[in-house]
Amino acid sequence: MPYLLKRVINSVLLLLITVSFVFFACRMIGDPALNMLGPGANDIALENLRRAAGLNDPLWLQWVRYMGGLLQGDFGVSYRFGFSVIPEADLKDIGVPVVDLVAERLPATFLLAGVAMAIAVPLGLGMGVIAAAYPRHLADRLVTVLSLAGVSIVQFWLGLMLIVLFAVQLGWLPTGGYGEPAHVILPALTLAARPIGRIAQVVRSAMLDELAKPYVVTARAKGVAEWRVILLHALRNAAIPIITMIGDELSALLTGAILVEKIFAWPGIGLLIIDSLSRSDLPIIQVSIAVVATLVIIVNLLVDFAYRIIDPQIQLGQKA
Amino acid sequence: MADVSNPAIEDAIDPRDERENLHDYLYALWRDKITASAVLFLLALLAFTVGAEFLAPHKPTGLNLADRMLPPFSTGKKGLFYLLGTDELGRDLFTRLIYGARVSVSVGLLGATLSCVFGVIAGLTAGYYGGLYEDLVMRFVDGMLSLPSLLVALFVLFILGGGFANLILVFAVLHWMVFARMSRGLALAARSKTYVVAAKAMGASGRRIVFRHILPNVVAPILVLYTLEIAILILSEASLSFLGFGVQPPDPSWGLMIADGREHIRSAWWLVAFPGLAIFLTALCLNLVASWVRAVTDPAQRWRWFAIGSGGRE
Repeated sequence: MPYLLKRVINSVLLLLITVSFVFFACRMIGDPALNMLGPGANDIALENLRRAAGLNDPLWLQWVRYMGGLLQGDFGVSYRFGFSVIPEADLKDIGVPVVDLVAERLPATFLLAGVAMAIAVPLGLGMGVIAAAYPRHLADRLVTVLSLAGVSIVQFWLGLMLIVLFAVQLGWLPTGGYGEPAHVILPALTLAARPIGRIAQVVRSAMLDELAKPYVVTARAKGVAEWRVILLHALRNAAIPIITMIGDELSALLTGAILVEKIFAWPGIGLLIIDSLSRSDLPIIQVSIAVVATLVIIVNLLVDFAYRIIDPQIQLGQKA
Repeated sequence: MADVSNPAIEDAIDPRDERENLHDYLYALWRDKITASAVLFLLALLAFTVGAEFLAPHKPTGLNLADRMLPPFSTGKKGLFYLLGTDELGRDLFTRLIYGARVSVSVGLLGATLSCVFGVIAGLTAGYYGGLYEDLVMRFVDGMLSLPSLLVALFVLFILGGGFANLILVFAVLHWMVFARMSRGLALAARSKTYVVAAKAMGASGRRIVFRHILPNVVAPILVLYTLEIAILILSEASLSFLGFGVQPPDPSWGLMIADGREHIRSAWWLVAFPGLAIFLTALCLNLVASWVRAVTDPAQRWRWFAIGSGGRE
């Protein structure tokens, strides 16, 4: 079986296991009908809902039905989510299709993650390359300190401190919210701190390894300009660990966004997860966790595929 | 790179005199002032964690409504001094930080220790024995590693409920794979080394080879990962507690203190700033120590650290 196909099948299996785990775990914590209607619901309403939603059926049958629904794009209905970014979706009695609630949150998370990576990748790359080009100089030390700080800082705390400084004290930027370009600056900076540090560290060490190799000596001996040696020869060959790290950081960013979105009231999928967890809104929890897990798994797959494009010598699927 | 003719190398890697070796490490640490300060900070933190009752200047639950919301370096109405200020109930922030350290540090230490022990056993045996067992373990590890761990932790804590014990349990379950993957690689590399072949030839059992021969030789990289993992867990604990799914009040933890202080962020910045700073410094020091251990135990780099008079870390 081709390696890529095997990887895709593994990922789909992993996703199925995750979704099922979330499904059964959500059933463990109590009566789903009571959860949907709230503690004040009367017995008749509960029994009606149980019959209508098939909650009296055996658990395995409910699981089959749930998974079947997911495959057909039926993600369930939320009865508890009182508010929504879409005004017409605010239908308390009828319930809101979960797919709408999740879909309307995704663009905000993508925007935030995109801007954060757009800040982090060039900065991290630049810092790492400079540090490797001037080892043990002041620039190298500065990069080392900054990247260690970026890795050690508590993201949400950095966000709060940025709010105190730029929103409360200086009043330059809004404390939170969504819609205008100014809103994205603080949350994106908060999210970017860690990937900047991680990327700079990996770029530095990968570049130092490459710059010590014979082909670099050859290139220099041939009189190739130093910037060409660094950017076109060494950086290209250092690409594999760097791409891995960027991929890792992108998936970490998708989950790190949970806290940052909470702090900045950024209406993305992370905020949706936190809100639905604190309301015990099981249908949304199930789907939003599945969505984020899917995104992370897709990013991991893409990183794997990227190897093959960068370095055809890598025999994918072989154990290192 | 390593200069093989450098006499410092032979001294440093000479295994015959353990005491000399320890002395070399201590001397190398002494000469690297940044790492030495990091070690001192961590030792002080540990001392405060163990001896909070004796070292804290105030009582952790000492309500004093007359001295509410005092900024750092202020003296209260009864002449009490508050180094880092007080919170909305007039409790001393420094004292609360010390008691918070007890929770945050022990979550990090216990979580990392449990996942280390479990992961190293799984990884070393998988790497040494190989076969179907290795395939199963590593497939499971790969699967777990490709899930977003913070999100899974959040969900599991939502199902199980937060609290100190559950938090450690969740960390152990979600973080042992990192150790397993690394130690499998180490065992795989060690399997063909002469000392393992020799032990096998002398009839040593698999368990003896894995834990008596391989393990002592791969302690250094595992120690580095362990140190980093403590930092990661302290950061995760803060995040989960901040969201309300980690340590539950009245247990103080640094993450919870930030969550509490957030309500007063406009008027009392210190309530948020200092707990976060405490986490930051702890994680930073752990990272510094980890990279030092990595450098000192790396045969290609260590001569820099032990070479006397050559400037150490240039």
